[in-house]
Amino acid sequence: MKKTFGMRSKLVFTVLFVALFSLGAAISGLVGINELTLGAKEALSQNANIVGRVRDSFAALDVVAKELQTLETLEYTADLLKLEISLQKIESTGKSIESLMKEDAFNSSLLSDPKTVPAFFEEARRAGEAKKEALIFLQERKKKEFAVADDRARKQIAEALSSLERARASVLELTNIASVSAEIKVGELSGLARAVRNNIFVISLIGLIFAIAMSMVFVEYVLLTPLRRLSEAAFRFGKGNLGERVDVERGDEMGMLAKSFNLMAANIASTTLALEIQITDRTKNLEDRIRVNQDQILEFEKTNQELMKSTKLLIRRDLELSRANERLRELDSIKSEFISIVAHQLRTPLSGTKWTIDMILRGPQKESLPTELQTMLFKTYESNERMIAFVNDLLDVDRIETGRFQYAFVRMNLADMAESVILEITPQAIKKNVSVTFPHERKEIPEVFVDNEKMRMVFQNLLENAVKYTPDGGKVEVALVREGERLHVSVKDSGIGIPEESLNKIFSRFYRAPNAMKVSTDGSGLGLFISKKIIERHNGIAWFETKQGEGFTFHFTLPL
Amino acid sequence: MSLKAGVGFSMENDAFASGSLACQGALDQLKEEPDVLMVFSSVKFDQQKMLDGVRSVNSNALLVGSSTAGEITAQGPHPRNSVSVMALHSSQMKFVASVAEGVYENPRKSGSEVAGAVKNLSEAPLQTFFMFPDVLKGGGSQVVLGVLDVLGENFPVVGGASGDDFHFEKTYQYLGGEVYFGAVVGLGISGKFRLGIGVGHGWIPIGLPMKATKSVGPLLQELDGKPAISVYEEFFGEKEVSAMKHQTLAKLSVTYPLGIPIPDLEEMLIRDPLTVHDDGSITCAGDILEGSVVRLMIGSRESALQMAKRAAEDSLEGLDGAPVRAILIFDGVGRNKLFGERAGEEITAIQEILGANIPLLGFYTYGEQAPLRVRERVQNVEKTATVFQNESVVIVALGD
Repeated sequence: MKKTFGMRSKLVFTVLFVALFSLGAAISGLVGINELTLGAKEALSQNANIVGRVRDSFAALDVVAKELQTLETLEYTADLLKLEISLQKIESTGKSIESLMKEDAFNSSLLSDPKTVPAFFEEARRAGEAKKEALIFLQERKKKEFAVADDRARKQIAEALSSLERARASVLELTNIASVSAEIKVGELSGLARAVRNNIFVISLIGLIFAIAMSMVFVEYVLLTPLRRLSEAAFRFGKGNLGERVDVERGDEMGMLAKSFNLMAANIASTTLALEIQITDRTKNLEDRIRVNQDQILEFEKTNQELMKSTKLLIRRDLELSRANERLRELDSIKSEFISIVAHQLRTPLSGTKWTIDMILRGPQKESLPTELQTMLFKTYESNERMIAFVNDLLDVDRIETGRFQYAFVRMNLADMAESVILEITPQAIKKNVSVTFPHERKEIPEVFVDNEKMRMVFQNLLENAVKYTPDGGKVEVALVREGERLHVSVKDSGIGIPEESLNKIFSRFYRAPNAMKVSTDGSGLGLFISKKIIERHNGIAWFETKQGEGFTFHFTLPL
Repeated sequence: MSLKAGVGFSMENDAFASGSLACQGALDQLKEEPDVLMVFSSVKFDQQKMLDGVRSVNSNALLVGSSTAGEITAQGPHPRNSVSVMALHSSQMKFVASVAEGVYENPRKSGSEVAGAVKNLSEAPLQTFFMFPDVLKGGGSQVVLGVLDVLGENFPVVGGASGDDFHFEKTYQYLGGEVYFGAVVGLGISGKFRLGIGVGHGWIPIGLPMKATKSVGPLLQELDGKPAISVYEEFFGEKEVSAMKHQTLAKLSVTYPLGIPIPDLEEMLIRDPLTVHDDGSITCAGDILEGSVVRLMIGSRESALQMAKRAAEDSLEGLDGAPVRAILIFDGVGRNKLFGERAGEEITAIQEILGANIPLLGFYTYGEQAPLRVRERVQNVEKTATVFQNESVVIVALGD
């Protein structure tokens, strides 16, 4: 930055000027005071000098007085000469006082005092006259009037003495007056000094006011005016007049500020212009995008409305389906209840029938009946037994569904169970010439956690079905194999199998495949349903594989 | 094996017989002197006679319980009205129970009362708290807050709100031989045992999000500035809803409940609307905060099943490897409707994880209580806080 004779310097000069002015006034005042003080001191010392000299005069007067008193007692004859000398001394003293009084111009005012001075001079004059008279008297005495003259001389001397005394008192008073007057004068001098000091203050004040006025003028013209112009320019610039510039051609800071402002204004103006162009571009871009977005929003809203419409449709459909499901569930429950009631109601009469036929066939009446009747009764008994088995199946299903099927799990080896059930089925198998095999090593078959009675039902169901639907000469194979952490049980037959269209129905209640119905009208269609439920209750998985006419294999696995 | 459990149930027509048979079944399986009996029953039975039946078999054990909207045992959900009993015995656990009435008037106070009473009765520090509140008048959230006021925010509280076979008219709570309504029964457990809790629902939002513009506690007045009921009117048609005004909205809404998204929570919080008022406002089973986002929810069997499995896994995890001795399930009533005739699948799925041969008892509730795990984003710590919710499944596994 270029060094300039800037505002700071101007300000400094102004301040220095004011300071020097004030300093000059103060110094001149002080010098005045000092001179006054010196004058006063001198006056005081002069005064003291006068007083000293008056005192000396007094001392001389005293000596004269003493001499005069001594003179009274002296023998005129002896000491007239001495008296003369004393008188001369008095005269000289008077003269010296007179000259002293006249000598000091400063004390001239005192000498003009109408009261004291004439008295003094009167007395002095009288003293002179008395002296003269004394001299005359002495001369008279010398001229032989000594006796009378003596008295008169004595009187005159006494008179001279008292006059001297009065002169002394006057001188004393005069001295006092001179002293007081000197003090008054000093006081006056001090007052004058104070006045001079006040004058200095006034002068300083005027200097200060002058300085302030100077400063104000300086501030107004050097600072405020250009600042105001700058401020106004900035305001107008801020208002948007980007062409606003300041015309301050000066070398000081204000000039530099103005230059900087102008430079800044120019920069802002150009940047603003660039921004405006950008904003216009962007706005256009945004407007385009907003237009696209608005289109999208409209699209979204439309989609939303469509979605809400389909949602409503979906919900209503869902509700309909749920309701239908609920009704089905109710129907199913009614059906179950109906079956349960029927089964329970049938059980008692069927048991009664069984008991009656059993009584007849086992009782003594049997022999009295014709053989034909006996055969018919036996067939009735068998049919009744099948009815009872069916009703029992129905009751099992009901128990399973209502949770009345109570399980008691124990750990056991299913090989024993399989063997036992095979033994039970053997008569039927032999009758049909169907071989039932169970090849196994007991110790290789792991124990499982089962309900003995329920699992036995599963084996009975599966083996009965296998024998029933396997034609003469066929074979049934039972296998128990450990597979990892599960026991795999399978019952395989070489029977009629299941047609494809029936595959997904065989676990339903009361379902019997058409080819099975042809083989045997006997069967509830509940066996596989019950077996599957029991296996599932054992945490097992049941499935089958079959092909119509090529046999059927039922599989299930149980956890170990 | 210090904790033993036995479960029995009965579907006899006679209330007394059903109660006694169910209790006998539970004791037969337990083969020990029971410490506590949990009794859940259909409202079809005369409640007092049913309880008398239970007590005729054993009157020494502590008895807690509730009426239900259907019960669940290891055999699955019961198809008909039934009574179910779980008997528990443990040499190392202590059970205390109490009841507080007045849930309709001041649910929070009742919650505090019952929790305070149970806490006072317990000699040892409580480990968990089972609660069976009456939420027919919508006090679900507040009663839970009342309990937590006493037991502490992070205390494991579980339970199910009483049901009444989907009538939404009157529900009952049991303590000892007494039948209550408008009450909350609490069971506190202390001692040495392990507890695993899992909870989830699997409902999914449908339609656009709405905002609860006006709401006081469980009373939802306005959604998006319109009477709350208009949501249901819009989606189901006014005819459907007007029928619900005369019966109860819950019959429709439990399968289409409302969901509230909660920050840091994977699943939304579910609220069952229970009743409609003349001004179109709805009373829900639990609170809906004014200003919260509200969604209409729809059931998905797949995701409901998946969340049930997840809940079962969570509960198993809570046992820390200890064998499961007993399972309790509090299942939202709408889930039974959602699964329909396949309701058993949910229970089977749970059993596949926790074990099929474990004594299991549960019921379909009008609201479930369980601690939800909230992962706080800031500290990244898991915080559990019990909340009241609907249509979720709460699985409690007890182990040694």
